[in-house]
Amino acid sequence: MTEDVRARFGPVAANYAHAKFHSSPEGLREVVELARPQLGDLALDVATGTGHVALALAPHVRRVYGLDLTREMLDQARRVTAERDLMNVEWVIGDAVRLPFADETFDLYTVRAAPHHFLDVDHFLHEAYRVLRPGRHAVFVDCAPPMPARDVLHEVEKRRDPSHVMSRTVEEWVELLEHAGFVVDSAIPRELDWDFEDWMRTMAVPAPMVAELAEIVESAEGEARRQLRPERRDGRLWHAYWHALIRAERPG
Amino acid sequence: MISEELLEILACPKCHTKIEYREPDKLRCPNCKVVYPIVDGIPVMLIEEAKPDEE
Repeated sequence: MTEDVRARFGPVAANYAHAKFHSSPEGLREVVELARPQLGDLALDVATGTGHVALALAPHVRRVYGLDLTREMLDQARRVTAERDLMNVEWVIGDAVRLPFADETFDLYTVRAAPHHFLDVDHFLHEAYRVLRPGRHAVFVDCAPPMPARDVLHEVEKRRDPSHVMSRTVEEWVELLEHAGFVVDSAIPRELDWDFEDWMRTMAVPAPMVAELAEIVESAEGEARRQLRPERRDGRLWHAYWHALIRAERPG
Repeated sequence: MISEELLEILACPKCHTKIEYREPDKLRCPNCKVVYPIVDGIPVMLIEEAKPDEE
C-alpha cells in the first residue's frame, strides 16, 4: 500500500495562487474535491474552527456536523450558517481526540489545518477511525514539510504559535494512518509559495521576533535550504511551504 | 434547538454510550452518570464540562 502512495510522491507544481489558506476558495474546493461527498452523506468536520470546510461541504451532503473546542469559533460559524440559510449544518463543542459520537456514524470525516496542534495523534486517528462507517473515507489536510526542512520550520512554527505541536511529513502521515487501520488512497504533498511576513501577521508576531524567525529560515543550509529556497522579493521573504492532502479509507 | 438526528448520534465522549436528552438543556450519559450542558443551542460535549447527574 505504501508503495502505491510513494509512487504519487515526486515533483509537484508550486501553487503560486496561495493567499489566505484557511478561507481561500481554491483551498476549500481542493478539500471538497478530495472528499468526494455524496448527497446522501452524513459528514463530520473536526476542528472546524469558523466552519469553512463544513460550510463548503454542506451543499454536497445530506447533513454535516462541525466540531470545535471553541465556542467563539462556532458562534461565528453559526452566524454564517444563518446568513446562507443553510438548514443541514449543525455545530457541536467537542474534542477531536474524544469525539462525542457513536461508533460507525459518519460517511465522511474531514479535518484541515489542525492535526499539528494535537498532542496525541494516535488517539485522534483512532477516534476518526471509530466514528467512520466501514468502507467510508476520511480526508486529512495539514502542514507537512519534508525532512530536513521540517526541522528548520519546527523552531519557527513553535515560536510563531506556541500551540503548534508538530508537523508530520507525508511519509509519517501514511505510517500513522496505516497504524490506525486506515488504507491510504492518496497522500499528495503540495508545495506552496509562502509569504513569510503574511504568515507571521496571521499570528500577530512582534517585529523583533519576525526578524529572528526570518533569520532561521534564511540561514538554513544544505538540503533544507534547497527545499525551502528562501529569497527576498522586493525586500519580502518568500520560501517554500508544504501541505499534505490525504484521502484514506476505513476498510469495509 | 438540537436536531433529532444529532440526538440520535451523540455519545458520551468518555465511554461512547448513547446520550439521553433531558429537557430543556441537558444531555445525560446513563453509564457515567454525568450530564453535558447545551449552552445557547450548542451541545458542550467536553469531559471536563460534565457535571455529576443529580437524578
